[in-house]
Amino acid sequence: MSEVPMPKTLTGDEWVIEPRGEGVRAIARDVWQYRRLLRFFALRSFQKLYRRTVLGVAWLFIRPLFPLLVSTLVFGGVLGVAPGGQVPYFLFLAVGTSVWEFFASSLMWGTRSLELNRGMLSRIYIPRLILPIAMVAPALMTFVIHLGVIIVAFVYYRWTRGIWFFHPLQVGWAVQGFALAWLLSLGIALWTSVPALIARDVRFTLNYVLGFWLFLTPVVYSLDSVPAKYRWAFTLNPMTASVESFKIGLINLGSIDSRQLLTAWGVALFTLISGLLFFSRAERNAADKS
Amino acid sequence: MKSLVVENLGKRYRVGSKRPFDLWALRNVSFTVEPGTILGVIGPNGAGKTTLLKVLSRVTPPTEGRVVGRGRVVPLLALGAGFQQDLSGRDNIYLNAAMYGISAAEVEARLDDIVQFAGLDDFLDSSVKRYSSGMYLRLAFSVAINMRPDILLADEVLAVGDMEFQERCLERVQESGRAGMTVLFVSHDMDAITRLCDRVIWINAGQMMGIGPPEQIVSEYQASAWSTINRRRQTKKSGGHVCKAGEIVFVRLVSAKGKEVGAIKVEDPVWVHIGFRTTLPRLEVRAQIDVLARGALAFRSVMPASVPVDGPADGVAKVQIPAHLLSETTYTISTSLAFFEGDEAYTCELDNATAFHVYDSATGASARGTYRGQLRGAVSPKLEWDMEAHQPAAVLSEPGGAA
Repeated sequence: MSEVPMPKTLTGDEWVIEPRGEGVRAIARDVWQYRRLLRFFALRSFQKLYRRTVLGVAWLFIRPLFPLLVSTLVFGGVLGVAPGGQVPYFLFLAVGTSVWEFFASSLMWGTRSLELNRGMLSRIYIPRLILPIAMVAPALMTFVIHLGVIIVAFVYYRWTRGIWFFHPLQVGWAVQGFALAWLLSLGIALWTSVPALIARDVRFTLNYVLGFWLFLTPVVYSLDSVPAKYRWAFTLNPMTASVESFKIGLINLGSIDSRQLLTAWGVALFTLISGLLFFSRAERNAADKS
Repeated sequence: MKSLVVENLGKRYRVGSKRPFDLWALRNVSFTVEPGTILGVIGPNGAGKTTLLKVLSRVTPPTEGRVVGRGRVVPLLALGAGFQQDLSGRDNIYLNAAMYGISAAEVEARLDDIVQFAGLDDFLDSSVKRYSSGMYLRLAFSVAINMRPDILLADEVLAVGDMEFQERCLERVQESGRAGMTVLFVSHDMDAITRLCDRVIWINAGQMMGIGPPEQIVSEYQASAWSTINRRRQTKKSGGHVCKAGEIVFVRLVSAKGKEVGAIKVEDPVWVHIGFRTTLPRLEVRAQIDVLARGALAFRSVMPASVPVDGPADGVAKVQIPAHLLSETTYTISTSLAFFEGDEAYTCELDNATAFHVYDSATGASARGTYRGQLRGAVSPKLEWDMEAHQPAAVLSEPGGAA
């Protein structure tokens, strides 16, 4: 083949395709250009929650509420776990569960985000980063429903017990705890979503990991009830900081120190940034793997 | 300024899970395209045409080399790949544009053009799952072309749809081409390629075989593509072509000039050569060919009498298929040889021994003359036609006609 003169620098509307990736910044620019797709993929994943079901939208409510009621009966009733203070167990559990469930399902949807859109990936170019970001939607939806339940519980307990458990001045803590859970789940999903295209093992393993992780996070029990000599193990778990922050923010119940909080944010940000770097390299071959 | 510069492009796939090996779907592909060019991409299945378009549309990254291009690229790869069944036509227009990274405001401005070209006025707000496949196609094409791409990547898509729509698409593509749009047009429809394209590149097994004017490249491709297939078929091991008395060694298609060919013109005769070897002395040999068009037997021809062969010997049976007999399609030939030794008979058979393509170079000399439509059937023999016409006055003078 004859040598083709290649332009040294790109001008105006020129673009270049090379074996090497264009880096995180180019990907960010792409995501911005294609941002309208975020809404589309969010809606699409959201529909997967109840499509082809008889009960339809009712599943949105059944799925989060049913486990909550069962757990309240088992842990609060049969096993008699007490959260401390006057807080009813149901409220305690609902608050912890809301942020934990958001984390867990955001991570699962994020991990599956590429796999669920496999067909599209091999046929048309879209910035793949859009998928793990957009597919947080179903988790968000569940979270909103949990919040609704918590609000109803606040009102109910105010009415029956005369106590207003909500502490509006501390709501900033809850926002912070939620943000931590979000960034951490996205960070991990950036690591898992491309491997999940090749091997379903990733998803299966993650299911087990999340099962264990829940027990290492003070959701069904309070951190105060953990013996002091095991506490250090909990401080390594960023989700402890997230759940405790969330509980402080909504029901003023929970304990956290600044070192633990900083560690958690450090872990989350490290996961997110390294995840972005990994994803930006790995996603390029996504079409060949699907 | 070039519209597209492709330099030493290569794409490697790792295939096979047990014993993986490297497969270069593209290797050392270099070409440049001027703005406004309609570039045809031809080659057999698996040659790397779609891979090329996938690399250009950024679906998959190249392994080596690079591409520099100018302006907006709109891929029309899998037509309607971005369409959502449960959304309305209108929503799908916006969605489709979003998948090309195009803003809603821009779609807004072109909505009328899109709807008008697609001819969907009444169906714009009904969900696309109610659309006929033709409407689906029209919408996808209309969205893509109205996004005013600088480079349009079309994979075989313009060849589907009804004739009228195809014509409109091709017209529109040509029009946009004159306005500076570059098109990469992948197709197996050599007729459309020669009609539409300014230049053609021919890819085979990931390598560039040629680039140039459509007529030249297409005929080179057709001549070569079919003989490649022949070779592949003949290396296939199957026991049927060997029997106790001998074997079929090769089956070739030979032109009047004595050259082995893979594609022939309808107005040229062609010879089938059946090479064989005998292992027994004093045999009578008789050859036979079956000519199949699209898998169905078009005709069978048998040597009128068997020929004595004193073996062991090598021989060739030749039969001429006359000009103006075959139609414009792909034929396969199955051959068999019968060896007679006294009362004993042995046969060896080679099914699908060779395949070849018959084409019409549209000079007017063929059976179709100036007719442009499709000739149906397994054969299109050139027959003598005649027509007579009389003045209607003859009717009036018939006896009794006026009474």
